[in-house]
Amino acid sequence: MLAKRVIPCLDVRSGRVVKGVKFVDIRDAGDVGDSAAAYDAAGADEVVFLDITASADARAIRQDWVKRAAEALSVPFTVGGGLKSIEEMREVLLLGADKISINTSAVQRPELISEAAESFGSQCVVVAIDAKKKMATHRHEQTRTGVHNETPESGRWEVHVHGGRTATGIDAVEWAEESARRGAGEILLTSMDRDGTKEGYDLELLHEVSSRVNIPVIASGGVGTMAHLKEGIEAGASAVLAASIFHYGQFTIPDVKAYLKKNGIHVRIAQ
Amino acid sequence: MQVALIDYGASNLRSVEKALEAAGAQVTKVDRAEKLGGADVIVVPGQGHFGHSMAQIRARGFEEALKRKVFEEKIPYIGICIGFQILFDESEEAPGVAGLGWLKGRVVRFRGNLKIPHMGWNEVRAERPHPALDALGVRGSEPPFFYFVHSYYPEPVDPSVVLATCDYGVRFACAVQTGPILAVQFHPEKSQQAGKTFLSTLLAR
Repeated sequence: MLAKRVIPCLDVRSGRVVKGVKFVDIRDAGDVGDSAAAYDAAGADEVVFLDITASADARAIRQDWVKRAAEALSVPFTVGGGLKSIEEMREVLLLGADKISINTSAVQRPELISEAAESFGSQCVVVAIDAKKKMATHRHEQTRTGVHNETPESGRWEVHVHGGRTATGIDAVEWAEESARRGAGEILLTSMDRDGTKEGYDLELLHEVSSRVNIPVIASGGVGTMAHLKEGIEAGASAVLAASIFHYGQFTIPDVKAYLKKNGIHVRIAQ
Repeated sequence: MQVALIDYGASNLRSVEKALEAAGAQVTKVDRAEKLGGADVIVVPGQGHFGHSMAQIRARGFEEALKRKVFEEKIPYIGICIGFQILFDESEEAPGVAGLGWLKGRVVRFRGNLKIPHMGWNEVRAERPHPALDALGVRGSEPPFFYFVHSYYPEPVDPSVVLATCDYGVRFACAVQTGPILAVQFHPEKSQQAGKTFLSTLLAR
């Protein structure tokens, strides 16, 4: 039976891991190669790198660190962040990445998903979606109190781009379906409402998206406990992604795997 | 141990090259049949489209050259993913395109209510003894996991070629072996220790 995957996510800025990885046996917490090697040794099922470099030479810097990540890892890894063209994607894949993740560039030009799938195969193409719950304004409360009273609108999420700064008006569930139709091999679904809160994944969002697409969905945003990972899988995710619980050493990958296994979830225990 | 790693332009070869080197091989990437020298083992890696891959294999003269090496010189052939699928007659991924046809059978797409691609770590069950799988304790109570990423799988006509199987909605052949040919659907180069043990045991033989 296919195992559910546990995926640590690393943010990379100017070729260095941001926030670091607080592993006891790591030489340089900011080094991409060392961080990757530490997660490889710990038994991560995959690793996701998100490039948040906001400079003109991002492409040149990326060449170096992606190569080092490839040398350090014996599990698959994904590179995302700022990839705009087929040529840039090809470059990253040839440097050794197994998958590329696209977000803003796919929303701006959805054909990019089809072109990437055509060029490299769907298995290489991850579409990352940053989703935020839509708010509904209640008119009668507005008149009574004189202020807008916004409550979350059930079952509706809006796609945001540019690292969550720009709302698009696009429905996240529909966008996930379109991405799958256009040839995405996987959806990396981040709840902006939950990201950084440690309150757990947005399970309603996860359930909605994973039941509507026939490609794997990676849950992201909000993990604070091991139970959150279990809930994400039960809501339909094929893989669970987390950053801070791993980086700050709150839990190790083996801790998480043992917990999930004990709770009846099929995971790979590394040899 | 000299390994010829077949480069048919389909995918990044570095991860396979690295894994073979870690298993003790000296690897030469070969991008045309005429450069295929006196390797001890031929490795045909994967990822990509059945049709595009076969077109490149043919355009680079590999179809005849590989056949000669494997069937006349008995050079071991290790196939990974697409390097496994092209051994068969044809694939639903590319109707009308002939595979190498060394093994009888078709490559078909996963059906039913499944997430496709079959992506991630799955258990490999040995169907008969083989040193590379035995080294992993495949026949124990906890079968090893390997990394898979594919939407199609071969259905061998001859069940005796099946070395190992895997379950994803259907139990399919994920490794075959016959004579000098051994090919797998999973990616040993992305399968951590299990992959390293598998490859090093294979190459040590």
